[in-house]
Amino acid sequence: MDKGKIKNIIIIVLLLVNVFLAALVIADSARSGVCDAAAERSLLQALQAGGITVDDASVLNIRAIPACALTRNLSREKRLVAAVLGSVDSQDQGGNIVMYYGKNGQACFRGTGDFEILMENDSVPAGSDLAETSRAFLKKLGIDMDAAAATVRSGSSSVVTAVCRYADRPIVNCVVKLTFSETNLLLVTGTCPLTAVRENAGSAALDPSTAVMRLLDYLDSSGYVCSRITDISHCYKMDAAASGEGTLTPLWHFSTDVGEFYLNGITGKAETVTQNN
Amino acid sequence: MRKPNRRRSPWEELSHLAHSEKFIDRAKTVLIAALVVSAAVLLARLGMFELGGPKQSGTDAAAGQDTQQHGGNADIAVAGPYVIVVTDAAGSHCGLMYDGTELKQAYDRLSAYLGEAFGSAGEPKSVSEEDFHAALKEQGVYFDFAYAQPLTVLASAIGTTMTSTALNHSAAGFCLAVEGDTVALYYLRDKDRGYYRCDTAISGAALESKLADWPSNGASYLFETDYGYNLVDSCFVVLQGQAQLHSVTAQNPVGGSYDPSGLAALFGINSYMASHYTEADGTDVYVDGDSILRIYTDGSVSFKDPDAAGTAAGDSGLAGALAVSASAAASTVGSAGGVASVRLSYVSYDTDAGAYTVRYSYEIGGCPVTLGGRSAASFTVVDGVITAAELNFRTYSYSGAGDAPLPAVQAMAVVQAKGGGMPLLCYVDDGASVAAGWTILS
Repeated sequence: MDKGKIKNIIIIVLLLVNVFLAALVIADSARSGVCDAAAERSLLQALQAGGITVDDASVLNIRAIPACALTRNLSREKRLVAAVLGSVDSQDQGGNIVMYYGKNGQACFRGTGDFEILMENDSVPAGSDLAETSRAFLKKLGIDMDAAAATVRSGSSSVVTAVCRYADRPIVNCVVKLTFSETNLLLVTGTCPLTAVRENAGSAALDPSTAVMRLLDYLDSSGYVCSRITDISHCYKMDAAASGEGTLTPLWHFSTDVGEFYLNGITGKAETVTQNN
Repeated sequence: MRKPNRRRSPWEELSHLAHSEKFIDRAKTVLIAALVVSAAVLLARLGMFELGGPKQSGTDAAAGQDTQQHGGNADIAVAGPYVIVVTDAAGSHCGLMYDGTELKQAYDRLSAYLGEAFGSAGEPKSVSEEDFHAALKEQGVYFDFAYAQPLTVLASAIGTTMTSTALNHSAAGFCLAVEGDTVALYYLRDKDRGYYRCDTAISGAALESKLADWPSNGASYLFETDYGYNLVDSCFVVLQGQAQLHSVTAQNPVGGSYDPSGLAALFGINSYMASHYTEADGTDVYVDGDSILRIYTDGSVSFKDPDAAGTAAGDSGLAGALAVSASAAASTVGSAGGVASVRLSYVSYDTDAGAYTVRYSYEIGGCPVTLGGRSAASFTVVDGVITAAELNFRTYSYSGAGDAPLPAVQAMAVVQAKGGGMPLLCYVDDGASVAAGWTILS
């Protein structure tokens, strides 16, 4: 058969396959929307039956986020440290503890993401907006800082506390503190996220309905009497070992009238969040 | 008269090109490729096909989290501590024991420091018992694994490697003490070989910042008290109040409809091809060449194949012995243990035989289970191959009731009367019943 005709047949077959698959995708999406809406309605009814109101029902539509595998990337770490300390010499202390020495100061980084940077030579002026100075400094270190940075002034020094982020979500236990004198940045301590290497499929993550039901179970078994959920959001928690391997685990964060609660986004178990610094 | 050649306009050029067969053929090829890509994308949207290779599922990630927590070689099942004591700057202690969840959470957060201490440890220097006690009173954290572990095994499991000669030591108790700007590692070698101290590269401030989350709960070391039990291990941790444990029942999962084919396959025996006979007491025996597998009616299993050594292509060292034994323990007694899990409890090397002996014990909710001197699993590994094994299958479950063992002070009195040692709260399984009680570690 003529080569051109064969290609015509292939094109027609592929077009039909594409039309069929597109129809399936659209139907799947519509069905998913209907299911989500039904689940949201059922959830609201269940919550109302339990005497719990939700300030904004749209928060129940929030999508699950995936877990993420992390690892320490030493060459990237050295490059980023050099961006703030200038050209650096590194010294492996053993136990995955690495010291960096540069003309602007020295730094100690650990396999768990914990670090400490001691600045010298007045290399980072405080500027008029400490939060903005902190953001710019952390950006050089490859750290995405959450918008809500707290600044506490004590005598002649000020401390900016920032929560790190991954994919625009806060990592609740990755907190960095930047200590300023009146004129300069002096000290940076905290926990930085390790390098993300693989995002896992989010299909096995808890959907919002299941997460809320798990929360209600937890509140019930813990003796809390909750009557109002004010907000539901996502965040991450980082677990890292001395080896430099770690995981970003998604958490559901519930704000209620009886307190803030975190649920593991994969297992549904209640999590106690403690800031690493 | 010849017409002069007229130059085509760009539009005419394009039109001419579009009508050429070559162009149409290429356009069709591009269209086919585009349609294939489009179909692949749509399939991916439907979840029938994954672009960029298979992804790990979220459940897998969660399941892998426990092993990844401590990093390193996930195949090596290493004991977690049975006691953690966090000491604040004032010398007050928070003792964590008898609660598996609490211990695990604390170990998850503090084990990185132990790993860093192992990895950055300098050369060990012998110190006195008084120095060791002084370190326990300093701000820091103490881990008691109950059973002595080779430091190199613990370091590997936590994700670091040791360069200090301390890697040749085994110990059950480790103390990280803040000493000024740095942290020192103290440990007591097993078999009373003395107390040692190593410098580490951990900063004192880094460890201090983590310890504030465990406020004092009134725990104290025996050497700090006035009990006067001089034969009891001075590092025994006395908690205020009485320990409350879950009541536990045990069953023998072997027997009746038990299918031994999986067990036989683990040891390289084909249960259908091997000679099989049942002894008068009901013991099932499988013989395949020199391999003999005996499955007793009380749930114990023994295996011997002295000629199996040298057949493996894997790691013939300690890591290989731990990997092969951990895998075997997990797939046998570990998977049948019910609420119990198995932990590494003993490792030794016989230089004459070139054989590692690796033992695993049951653990329930942060308390070890004693089986009358037997282990949940004991393996002899030569050149990375299991040449002998003894397994004791038990399936444990919570009865729903509580179990109140003898208070610690009375347990110390008993240990003193029996000649001394370290009291260890555990579940005592005598084969007929399980009860919370005390055992003595010598």
